[in-house]
Amino acid sequence: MVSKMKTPAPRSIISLCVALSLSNALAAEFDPRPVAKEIDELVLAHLQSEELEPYPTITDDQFLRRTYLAIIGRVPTIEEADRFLVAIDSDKHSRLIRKLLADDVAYSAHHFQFWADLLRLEGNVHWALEYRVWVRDQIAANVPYDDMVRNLVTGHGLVFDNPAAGYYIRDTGMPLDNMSNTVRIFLGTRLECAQCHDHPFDKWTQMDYYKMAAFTYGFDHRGGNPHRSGIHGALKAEERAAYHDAVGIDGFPFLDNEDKLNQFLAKPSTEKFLEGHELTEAQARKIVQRGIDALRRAEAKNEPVYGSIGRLYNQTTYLEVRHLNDTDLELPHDYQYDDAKPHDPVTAGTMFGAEVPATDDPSVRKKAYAEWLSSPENPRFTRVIVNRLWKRTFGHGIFEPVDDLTDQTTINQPELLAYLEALMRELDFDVRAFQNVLFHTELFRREMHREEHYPGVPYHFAGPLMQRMSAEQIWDSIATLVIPEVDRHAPMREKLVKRMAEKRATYHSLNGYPLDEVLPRMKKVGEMRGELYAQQASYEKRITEAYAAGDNARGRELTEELKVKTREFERKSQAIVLVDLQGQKMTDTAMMMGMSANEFEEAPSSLVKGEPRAIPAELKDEERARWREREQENLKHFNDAAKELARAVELDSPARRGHFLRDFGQSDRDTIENASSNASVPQALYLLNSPLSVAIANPNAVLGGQLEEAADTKAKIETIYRAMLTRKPTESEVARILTDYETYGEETIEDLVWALLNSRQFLFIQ
Amino acid sequence: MKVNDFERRRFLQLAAGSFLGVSTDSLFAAAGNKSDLAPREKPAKQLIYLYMAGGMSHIDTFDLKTGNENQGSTRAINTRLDGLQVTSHLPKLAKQADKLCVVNSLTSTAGDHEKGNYFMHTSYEQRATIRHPGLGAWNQKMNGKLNPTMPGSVFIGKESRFHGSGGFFEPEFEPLAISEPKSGLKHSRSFVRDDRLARRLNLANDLDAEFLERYHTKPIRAYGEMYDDAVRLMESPDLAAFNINKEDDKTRERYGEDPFGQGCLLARRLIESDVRTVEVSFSGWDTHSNNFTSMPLLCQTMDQAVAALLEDLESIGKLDDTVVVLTTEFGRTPKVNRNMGRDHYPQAFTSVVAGGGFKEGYVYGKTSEGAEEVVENPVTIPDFNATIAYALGIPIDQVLYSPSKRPFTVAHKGEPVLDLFA
Repeated sequence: MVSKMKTPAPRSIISLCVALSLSNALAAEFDPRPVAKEIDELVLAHLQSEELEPYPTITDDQFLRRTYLAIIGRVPTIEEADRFLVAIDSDKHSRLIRKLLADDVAYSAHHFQFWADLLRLEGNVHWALEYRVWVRDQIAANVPYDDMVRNLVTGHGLVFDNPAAGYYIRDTGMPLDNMSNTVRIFLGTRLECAQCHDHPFDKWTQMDYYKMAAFTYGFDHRGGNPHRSGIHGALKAEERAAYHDAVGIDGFPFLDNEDKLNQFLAKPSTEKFLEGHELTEAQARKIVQRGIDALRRAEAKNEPVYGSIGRLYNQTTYLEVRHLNDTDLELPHDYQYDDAKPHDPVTAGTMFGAEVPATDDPSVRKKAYAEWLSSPENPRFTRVIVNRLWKRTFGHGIFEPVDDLTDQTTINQPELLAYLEALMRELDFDVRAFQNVLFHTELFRREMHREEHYPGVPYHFAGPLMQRMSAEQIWDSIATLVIPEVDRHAPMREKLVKRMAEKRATYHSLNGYPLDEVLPRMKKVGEMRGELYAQQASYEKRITEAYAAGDNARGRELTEELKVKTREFERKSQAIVLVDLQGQKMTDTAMMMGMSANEFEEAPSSLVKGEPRAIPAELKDEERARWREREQENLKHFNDAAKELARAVELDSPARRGHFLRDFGQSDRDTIENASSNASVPQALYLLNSPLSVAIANPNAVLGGQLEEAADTKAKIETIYRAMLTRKPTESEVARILTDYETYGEETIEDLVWALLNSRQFLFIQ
Repeated sequence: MKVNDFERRRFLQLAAGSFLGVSTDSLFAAAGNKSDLAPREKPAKQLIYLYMAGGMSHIDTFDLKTGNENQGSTRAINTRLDGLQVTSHLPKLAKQADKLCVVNSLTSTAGDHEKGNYFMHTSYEQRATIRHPGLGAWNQKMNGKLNPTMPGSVFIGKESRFHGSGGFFEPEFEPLAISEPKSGLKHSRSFVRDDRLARRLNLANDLDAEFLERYHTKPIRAYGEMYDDAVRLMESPDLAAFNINKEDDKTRERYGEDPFGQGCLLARRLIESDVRTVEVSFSGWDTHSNNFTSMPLLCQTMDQAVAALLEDLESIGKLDDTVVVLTTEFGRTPKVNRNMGRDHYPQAFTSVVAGGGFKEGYVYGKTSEGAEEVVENPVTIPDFNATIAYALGIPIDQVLYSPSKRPFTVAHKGEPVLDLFA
């Protein structure tokens, strides 16, 4: 029995602290081998019943490459390979697995992508940054899976306090879809069809759907910003006061338009009221008109202030998940079944398993939903995660698809699945401990399936199913060939930290000071905005005249001028209101709001930048210029590549369209698990024609540097093979390459880098 | 690995086969999208989709209301077409108004950019559980490629996400995206000499031979085929279609040197090379403030590019077979706001179609005196898309299933507006 690991205090991965909690727990307390053996026996028994033989065991080279890619998501460097290959003890495979699993930074760089695809972690907007960093931190800290799911599904409040709120903000405005996604991700069940009618292929009714949705319905993500309404209220009060001042009679009602005035005058009680104040109806009308005029003047004065409120506070929407207590879920207008009527309110209820007692408190309800979902008693919760992890390790699920479980789903090896589920529960949902077992199986060390596997046909696991590297694995492996210490290379982190700090400072400037400090600042910029309006009007007149006179150039020039003025104004008004956004103050605020000091101090920002080599002395003068030119061009290719290269986890999520990662099938994070490993023409064009191979072979790159040091051509060939394919070349391969070398000389070396980059051996994991 | 997707799709085919019979069948037809409409006899083949991202103001472009207080300082000019006035900043299109079919009665409820953009491109509400394919993907799916060497559809624009995507269709239906028309297709040219490239390819093949002998499953073979395709494209004369630098300066200037103008020029070249669908996106129409000072440049840029495009399509004989659509996510509030701008307004707005067998010189639908609401012949976004689909010969009642076995049609429940066709 493994004791449940306590979640260490969340130390942000972005501070690059390596928490060694997991490795210790794993190494000290838990021997995965006996369990792995039992799994192998179950697989073998199944193979026997199918009259199949297990595939042979792979070589150490293959094991090394496969293990690196599976656990930390990139190929090993030559040094890393050596460390493993020189060991001669029988425990070295186990040691490698445990060592890699214990490397929180490298492991989380890879496993992050698993979560990113499931949770559709996307966008570079402020809340998403916090959320993304949080997800990686959870992985690095090895928070148990069930705890992590509970954290996500109960995500609530301000993202700075609880970044898991991002789980709901991701689906803003689509609370029903959010529930469908939750059920699909964590229970492997497709409910979305039942949103509009009873599920046509499964047992779920539309009522089931709505009862489930009722657990998490009624949240607001746009509001937050407590001062926004406060300022609004204060301005409105001022406007009312202007009315009352102009009216000048205590207790006179607030009648801000003619309709209200007429209604007031028509009321029976009004006569007496007017008599009491010695007013005729005509006088009352006049007084009210005076009040309305004053009110309109006050409103007009405040109007630019409202404009500024909108501008400024809109920067900090979608930062908070809040309850909206007055919105209960109703059945849709076209509800067509007999058990209820359209628009009937819906009471939350679970779709299967344990019932959850009804409650009016939305927090309690959401927590109960999360508990029910992630409970070991929930029949699909454990099943889905073990199958996903199994598929991630062996290329095929025990059941497929992994997220479309129905009562009809055929489970080919039910004993194996049951065993894995029990194991996961036993391990208290410690994902890395579970993976540790899978990586220790014989199955993980068998040759890949060589035949075509047709979907829909049961897969028997005589060996794993061959997979193409994911887009991220390809990218990260290429980065390994270029950037030293690639797992620790985080050139974009400083920018990320700054953006997060800015958002905190913005939020704090707008909501963290007493209202009577923020209000005058807002009024000040409102006043400036009023001046801007006047300028806009004057510009518009001149611009229209210019165009009307056919002087387009002048029209455009003036338009540009106005744009500059508007931008300048926005900048100034930010400076006045967003008081925490400057320099040290920003850092202080961000730290006060929960960012750690480490994040500021340790953010590494070193960009790799190459140096040209010295000109070889033996070159003749006439060759020197050409040599220098080529060297500069190579260096440019290297620098262009190096400045983009860092592990995928450090880049935007998803990468921008047209980026290598996207071309190779990185999920756009728009729908769940949307990554692809299909071939496509842009991929081929990229590998065929980009200067990537030049960058890899450049002496400033890891591999290029090793090539500089290699003693002779054969050593160079071996170096390239070992770095790119994690094996030595065969004699016939060397012979083939040397044929080219004899004719074309040194450029064959770069050709070889190019050729292996374009080889399927590189892309597919053996 | 995406065996996953393939399997689902495959499973879906099986499921659709066993549960649903043929895919156009009736399970969901009761919902009302079954149409008795016969397909067009000679449908158009290609589509150019010009998307004015941000929300193009209807009252300041094609639906002018001279004399109404909502008009602001936008001035109308007459066009070649009786009964149609446009803004003075569309002089070239005014001269070609006899080619245009202006729909002034679009109406929708999707009033934010993301949702409106999505709705316009797919006819479906944006949902977090699925991505619907755009018209380009449908065009390729239903009509196939016209030129097997070229991509089925191309998207030209800077957006990092666009909604005329391949949706839940297979990856080959995803449009090829080009952000910078001047640079064309990335990595389409080898930077080593041809003989060295050939040598490299030989080396790669020889070194991979043993691996390929051991493992010859479909995903691995697909990589071989993909390299063949890529090399074929590199060697093909069609590749030049991506290169607008082949056009003379005069032509490039005629379209305008800005990215939208150059994008339209690229679109014309791609259409000439028989790409089925090209979308060109032009952003900047979100004129919440300074509407009247922003519109001149926006309109002039659009005017120049679209006018040149229509002229060229006509002169190369492609206009009859190519549907040109100019559209946007919504119109803008007829009432001018305090920032001299206009806000989002889905209730009533304008789009334009041309070529492809549409009526030439026609105005359809009408808004109220201040352009606030549609008072004649309202056209919903699904209707509008059904009209384009019908023009292209895409059967509007053809049901296709997503991997999760949900049924979808090209324009959801939209019905084509037959009155727009000549």
